Amino acid sequence: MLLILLGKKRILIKTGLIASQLEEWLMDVILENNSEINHVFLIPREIKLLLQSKFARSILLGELITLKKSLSGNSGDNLEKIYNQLNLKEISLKRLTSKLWHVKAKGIQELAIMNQHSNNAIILELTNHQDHMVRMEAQTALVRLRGYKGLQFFDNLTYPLSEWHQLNLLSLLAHQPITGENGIFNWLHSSNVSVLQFSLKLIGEQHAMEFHEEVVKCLSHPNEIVRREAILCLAQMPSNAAAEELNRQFTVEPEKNLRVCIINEFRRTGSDLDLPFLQTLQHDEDVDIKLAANKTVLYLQKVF
Amino acid sequence: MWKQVLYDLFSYGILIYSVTLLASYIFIGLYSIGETRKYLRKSSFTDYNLLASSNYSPSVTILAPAYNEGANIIENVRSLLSIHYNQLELIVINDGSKDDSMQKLKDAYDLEVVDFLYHVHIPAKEVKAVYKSRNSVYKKLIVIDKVNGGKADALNTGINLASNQYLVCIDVDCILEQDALLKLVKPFIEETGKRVIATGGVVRIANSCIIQNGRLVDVNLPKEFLPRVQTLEYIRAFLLGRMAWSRLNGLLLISGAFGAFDREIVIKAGGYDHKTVGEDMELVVRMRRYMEEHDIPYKVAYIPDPLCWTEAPGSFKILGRQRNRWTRGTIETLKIHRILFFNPRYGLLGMISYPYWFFFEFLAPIIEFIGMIGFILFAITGIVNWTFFLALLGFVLTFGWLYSIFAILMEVVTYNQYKKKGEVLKLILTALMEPFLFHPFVVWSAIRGNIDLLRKKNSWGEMTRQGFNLQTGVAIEKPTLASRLRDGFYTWLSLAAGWLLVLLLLRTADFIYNGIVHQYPGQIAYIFIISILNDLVFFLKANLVFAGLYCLLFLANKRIADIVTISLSIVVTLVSVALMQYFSLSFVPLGADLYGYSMKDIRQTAGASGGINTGIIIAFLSVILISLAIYKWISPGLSRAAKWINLAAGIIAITWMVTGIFTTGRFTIHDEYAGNLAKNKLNYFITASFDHFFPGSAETFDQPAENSKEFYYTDEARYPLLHRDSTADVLFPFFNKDTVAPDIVILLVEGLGRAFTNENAYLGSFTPFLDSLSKHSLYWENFLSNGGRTFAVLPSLLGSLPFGKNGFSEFGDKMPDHLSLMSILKSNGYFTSFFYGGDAGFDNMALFLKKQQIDEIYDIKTFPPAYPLLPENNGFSWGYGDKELFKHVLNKNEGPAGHHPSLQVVLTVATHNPFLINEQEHYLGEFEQRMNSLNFSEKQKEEHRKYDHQYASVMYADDAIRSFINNYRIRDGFKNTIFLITGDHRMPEIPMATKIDRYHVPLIIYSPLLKGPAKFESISSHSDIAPSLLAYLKHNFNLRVPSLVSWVGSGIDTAHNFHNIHNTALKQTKTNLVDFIMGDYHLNEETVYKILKNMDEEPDPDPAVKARLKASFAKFRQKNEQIIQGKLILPDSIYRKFYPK
Repeated sequence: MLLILLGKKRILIKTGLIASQLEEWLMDVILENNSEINHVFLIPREIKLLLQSKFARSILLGELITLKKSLSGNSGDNLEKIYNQLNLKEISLKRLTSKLWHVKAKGIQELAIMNQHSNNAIILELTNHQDHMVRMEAQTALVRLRGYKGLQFFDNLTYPLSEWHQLNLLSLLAHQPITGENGIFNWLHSSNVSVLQFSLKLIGEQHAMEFHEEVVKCLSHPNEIVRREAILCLAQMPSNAAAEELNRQFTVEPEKNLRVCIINEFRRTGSDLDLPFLQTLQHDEDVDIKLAANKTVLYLQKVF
Repeated sequence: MWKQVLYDLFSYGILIYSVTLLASYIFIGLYSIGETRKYLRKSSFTDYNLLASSNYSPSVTILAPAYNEGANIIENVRSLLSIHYNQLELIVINDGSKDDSMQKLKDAYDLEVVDFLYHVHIPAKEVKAVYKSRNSVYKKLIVIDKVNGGKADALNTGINLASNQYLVCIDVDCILEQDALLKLVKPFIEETGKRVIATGGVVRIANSCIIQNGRLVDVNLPKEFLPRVQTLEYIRAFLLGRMAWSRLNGLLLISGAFGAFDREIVIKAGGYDHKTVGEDMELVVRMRRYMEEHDIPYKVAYIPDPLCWTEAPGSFKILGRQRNRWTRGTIETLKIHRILFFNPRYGLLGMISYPYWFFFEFLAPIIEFIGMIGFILFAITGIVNWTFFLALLGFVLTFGWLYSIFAILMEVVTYNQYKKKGEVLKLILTALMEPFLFHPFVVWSAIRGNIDLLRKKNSWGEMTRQGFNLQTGVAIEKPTLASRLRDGFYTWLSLAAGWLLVLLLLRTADFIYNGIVHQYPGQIAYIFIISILNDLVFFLKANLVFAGLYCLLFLANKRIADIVTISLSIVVTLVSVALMQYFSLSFVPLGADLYGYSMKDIRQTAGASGGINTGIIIAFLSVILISLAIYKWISPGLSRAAKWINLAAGIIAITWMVTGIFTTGRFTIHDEYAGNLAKNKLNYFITASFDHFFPGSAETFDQPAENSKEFYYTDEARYPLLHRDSTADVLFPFFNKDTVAPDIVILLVEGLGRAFTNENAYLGSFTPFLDSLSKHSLYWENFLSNGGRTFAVLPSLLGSLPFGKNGFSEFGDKMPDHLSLMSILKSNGYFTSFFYGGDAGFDNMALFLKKQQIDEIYDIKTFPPAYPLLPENNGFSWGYGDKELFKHVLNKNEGPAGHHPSLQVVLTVATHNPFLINEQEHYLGEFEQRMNSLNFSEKQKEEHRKYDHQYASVMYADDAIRSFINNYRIRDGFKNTIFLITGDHRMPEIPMATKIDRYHVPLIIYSPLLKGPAKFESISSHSDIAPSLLAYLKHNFNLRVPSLVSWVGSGIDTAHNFHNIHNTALKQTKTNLVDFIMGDYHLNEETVYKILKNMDEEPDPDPAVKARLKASFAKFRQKNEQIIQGKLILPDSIYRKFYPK
């Protein structure tokens, strides 16, 4: 135990020492104002000497990644440039070939953060990797690097996307408007339920009315998850048409939970016109439907 | 035998259980490493903040039940409201608090009653009102005011009202990490193939941590021991145990302090069970069971991040209640879901998780407790294999420490919460102390939990649920069985402290009394301390019995408990006094030899030695009065200090016992008197009695037994002792040749020890006649009796026989056929007779002699009326003095016809306790003169005068022998007579110097036939006499003597120099066969002594020597045991041929 603790302490001290030596120079790099694409930063002799050590290069890479995550603009660009200038990509690429999932994932993450487009093909291959963390990092990296185009891996995706990962991808695409050219129509017909689910979330998130019809089609999808997502998606695109579809879906929806979900979503899509229908449901035999109807009626009565 | 089997079953059962348990710990420890590493690596790729702001994060309802939390409710709710999470609802459930919690909430958060629609999925106590804040800032907050129903009921109410997908149940006083909720929720949405039904995280101890505005700002290791050891316990449980179970997907428990659940499954499973105190575990088990029964793939997730900080109990009282409750919760849950037990239908849940909890969580404290009780019982009864026990204890302790240190290491390399200087070291030290200061209490609390649960069963209808205060440990509970037992125990502790005082006073009085009456031992302080330590050991053992008895009686009635237990303790004290008195008279503690005597013998011995006299009656009354006074006036005053007094006494006693094990022989007192004085007499008596009635199985040794003079055994299987007689005739060189077989007179002088007879006697010689006689005789100065008491002398000396169970004579009517010097001589025409001043029925002597076909026995009944008896003591007299005895001998052999050849055996009695002789004053004067002639200093004289009666009786015996020999000289047969004079054993009533002193007697062979005197320093014993005499008579007088014999002795050694060629067993008392001589070594129980030239002894620690001695001793004991079991001593053919017709 003592040996492990001492070893850990030694590494920490060594890391801290190197990081402190790099700190001042890195600040200069971040703050340096330049617009040249191929700008070459001046590297002090002592830093050069230091970076002859593999360990120091690895520490520098870590520092660059940490800084890059929180910096954008010129400072972020400078970090990318120094990454390229010092050929730190070599480390990232080497990591990519590791058999250890966390090393491989780290390599992918570094390449994505440092905007290294030249390795997209390799990363694309990893989007279907058997290890879910490698897979997720590769998928995230592609979306980070290529936006909607990065979602090309959907075409061959054999593994499901977890809801957590969907959240990740949604956050990356949050500020990039969706268009029909992005292949979303294809995804809405994907055999991978999670791809469909993600697409519906994306549409809902961006209130993309142009996909209304496609979403409505999903209401009749055999998978309950897809139907639920379609209901939620429609609820996020408030319109008379959406309300009507939900109304219609209520009558045909076999799953009680989804019927309850539709009633709840009336609070977003409904109007005083829907009150008579909801009031009939207040007398439903099913207590959950009755409760949901009561709550929604109460809500709508308050609003209107 | 049965005891050993029971012990083996017990100890190996515990061993197997322990090994299985420890193996599971090793598996858990190793299995958790991978999962923790994976989690940490995954976390480095995770941005939890996404969850907080996303519209697609799962919706969460926090349920915070509160009962009488008025002091901190506002801050606690504010802390929960500050959690940043988009889809959040906070429900605070006021479970009928009796304080102002509700009002404070209303005021602080501007609450108003709202019409809240909800469906009662799970039955719960009535909701009085639902509140929401008028202030939109607090729109996430819902407050439920309900009728008190306990934590589970409150949570069920919250579940009914919750509208979100996931429920996070939290103790309202918990401090959450900033991102705790995000980390807890994430597992629900990252799994794709299985439904995550619950997640839990690490709960850490917040004691000594700095908390500001509901936030943890500085982590510190708790400064107090109890919270610190719980910190260690939590690290072990959360970082190792739960992580491994999570990896297996076998987790049964999500901490009630902070856990998240899938609301739909919770409702479907039926919510919390408010009938159990372990509602958190019960819910998880029920949810899992639901998923298994509906064949839905699921997972109970767990994350090793410290998420929640809570205050740990800081006192044993609160901790005890908490652990008691946990135990009851576990048992209740296991009982409710007993269908899972090894039920393959439930997969891992039924085949691994449930059985693990059953065997290693529920049963572990019970087995440990039983193990402890068993160990104490076995230790008291003396059958603990200490080597095995210590090895097992060492193994378990070391494993425990290593496991804790491993957990600390895991903590350091993962979350490293305690990184301040010295904190890790403190944790390690805490781990080292835990098995002694914390673990026993936890086990005891669990046992109390079991007892309480059993009690509850019997009074189910009277149970009043207290709501949350059960959790905080401030409930006023009805007296439970455990609390009654505890009260009883504490009451007893006060009485026990008083009893200890009585025992210590008694020891002091006994020590002083023996010092005054006899002598103070050397190193007086050391011996006194050892005495006290021995008394503490006895006190500990007795206290365990008395405490149990008292507590049980206390349950019925305190007064009965007081009367019975105090009475018993006084009886025990009185028995101690009686045993002390016995020691004071005999200088040996009474052991199981008591059982070797008939009631008649006991009455005679006790009576003659003045067992019951005025002094002892006064002592008894004093003990009773002092004990009662102490119990009445002093014990109550000791009530506060009692537990510490008892604890200290117990720790000292255990330490002393353990020290004894580790330092074998180191503290052995080699002075016989001092060693016996220091013993606790009652403890010795009980232990010896137990060993007597429940003897352990005979020891066997791989090492072959050694025979210094090998016997050639002819048929060991049928006749264990039968061997070809190879006894050399070593006596003939010292005798003139004669044609007529000599008369033989054997004088057995009661208590005649070498300590006070003949040249170089270390106490000075008080036998001037024998001193001078030995100078004209063959004299063995280092001779040994085979027994420490009279019972052994006739069978050993006349028959060279084994001891049997309680001495050979005690075979009684079942005495196996054998031959002896007496029977062989009789068959060769000798007239045989026995003379004894007392009753020859004592020690079955008459029976033994009759078995030899003796011609005449002359004992107390045969003396002429004119002969004076020895003075009486308490109306008892042993019989006739030595002078009267010898006179009787001479008278019976008067006349020219006489009986020739003859064997006369004479056993004296005057030198026996109480040492009262006729002409007492005269011989006391002789004693004084003798001291003068020995040039004693005044100090020496003073010391000797303490035993003046003993010495006076010795001088009397010596004088009697003088008269006897002188009178014999004028008889016709004198010239053809051989006299053997020896002691039956060394008188123990004068303190003995060594363990062998008890057996050290002189042997004088005096005869006009002798060519001249000779002195021998070599060692021989009584059992060597018969073979040598017969060899002499056979070779010189053609007596018919069998060539195959069963003698245990190999003949007297006539080497002049000091050495020992015999292997000789020596029986201390009728029941105590613990001494063995081989070569220059003496084995006494477990201690080996080297015998020095002057028969002094010094311990010899060489284990090889000990092993050799034990092996040879075991061989002897084995043969002796075979005789006890009915093996024959001699073939019938030999017996018939040489047995007198």
